[in-house]
Amino acid sequence: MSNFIKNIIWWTGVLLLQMALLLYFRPTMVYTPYIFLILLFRILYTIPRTIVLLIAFLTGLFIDAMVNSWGVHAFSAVFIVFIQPAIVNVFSQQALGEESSFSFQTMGKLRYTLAMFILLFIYHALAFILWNFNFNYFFFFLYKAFVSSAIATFIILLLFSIFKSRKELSNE
Amino acid sequence: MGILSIIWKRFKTLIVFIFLEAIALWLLLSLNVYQNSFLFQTTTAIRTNFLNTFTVWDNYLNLASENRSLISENARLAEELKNKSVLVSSPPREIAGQYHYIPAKVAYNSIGAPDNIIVVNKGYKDGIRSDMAVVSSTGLVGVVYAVTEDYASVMPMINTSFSCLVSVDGNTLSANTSWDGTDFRYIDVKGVPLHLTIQQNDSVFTNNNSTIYPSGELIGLVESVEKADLGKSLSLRVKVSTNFSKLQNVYIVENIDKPQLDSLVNNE
Repeated sequence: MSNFIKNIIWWTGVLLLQMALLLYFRPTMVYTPYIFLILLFRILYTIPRTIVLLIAFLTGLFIDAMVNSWGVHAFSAVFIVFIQPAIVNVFSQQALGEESSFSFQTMGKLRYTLAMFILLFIYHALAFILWNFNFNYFFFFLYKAFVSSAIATFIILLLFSIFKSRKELSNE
Repeated sequence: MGILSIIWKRFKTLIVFIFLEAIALWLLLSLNVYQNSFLFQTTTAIRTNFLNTFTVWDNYLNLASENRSLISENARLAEELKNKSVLVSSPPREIAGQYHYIPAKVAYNSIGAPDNIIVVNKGYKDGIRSDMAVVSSTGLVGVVYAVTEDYASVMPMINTSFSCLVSVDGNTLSANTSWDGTDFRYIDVKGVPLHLTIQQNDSVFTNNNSTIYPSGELIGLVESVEKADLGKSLSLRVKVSTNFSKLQNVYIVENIDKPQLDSLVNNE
């Protein structure tokens, strides 16, 4: 199967799962995990960053259309893709100046999970703050983002363990 | 072109990032009702706060000139009152109350357009009606032409639609003021008869043929005199006495006898 077809299946599958999660958790509920970011994290080091930003914007806009929150996820997704290399560099074991990548092999399980959790936490916090646009409950949003990103991290790791990507987990 | 391409190559990620975030923010603030109203309330609060602070400081910084202007106005009024009470045994109509002066502050003032307007902070509930004269401590300002409950719009002398009859140096003329829409410091008086000897710095006042303007309100000083209308009349360039760019306090003048005067003039 060509990479293109694989990617189409992967993207469709994750977006469908995201929609199912949104149906189950609903954006109005306290905890709402957004797992679609894993799609963006995977492509960052394979195609030019400007294209990734554009894909992040369109993917965020797709989620916005699903939950009728125009701009919230588009803004947050572009932001998270922009800062991702900086966060990954903090957790990566690569020497200074070396090109990092966001994967199990290069970072190790613990560092990868931590980086993933922090990225998801920033994303969720930003999305919740933008969606509610009320800074009186700032710490509640942080708490909500913490739990939601923990759920999202768990689901993503579960996904990886179920569909062990040959490319990423063959060296485990 | 070279610099642009260098900037693009160096900062293309940042440029695309800012561009996409700007679009996302625009979507967020324009398509979501709650966020939109939050933004509107916040910007309105900031703007109001800024304007209030600016007005307080502006008023404070202009206190000295306002004081000078009020002192000179007081002196002029005291002198006028003294002269009139000495000269006439019974109080004249002005003192007995033909004209009622209502003080007002300028809330908005434009000087850069052909159709300038001034908005003052007194309106219908303060007794302001259209066709009332507006004067300042230094001279005529204009005429009220629209009134709301709390505010009134004034058509100033520096509006191309404004005109009023004048007298120059005691000579009542059937000549009107007009403004050409360029320099707010000058107006023109056209149609002045040739036989009058008018010199530079002669005073131009409102004349007594109007039921709107109190007679003898200073309009300005003659700056230059030219022949106009193919040499059949004179045209005066008048430097207005009111400084429209610093106008803050005005008086709206109600002619209490206007309804009676108007009915007589209209029946004529």
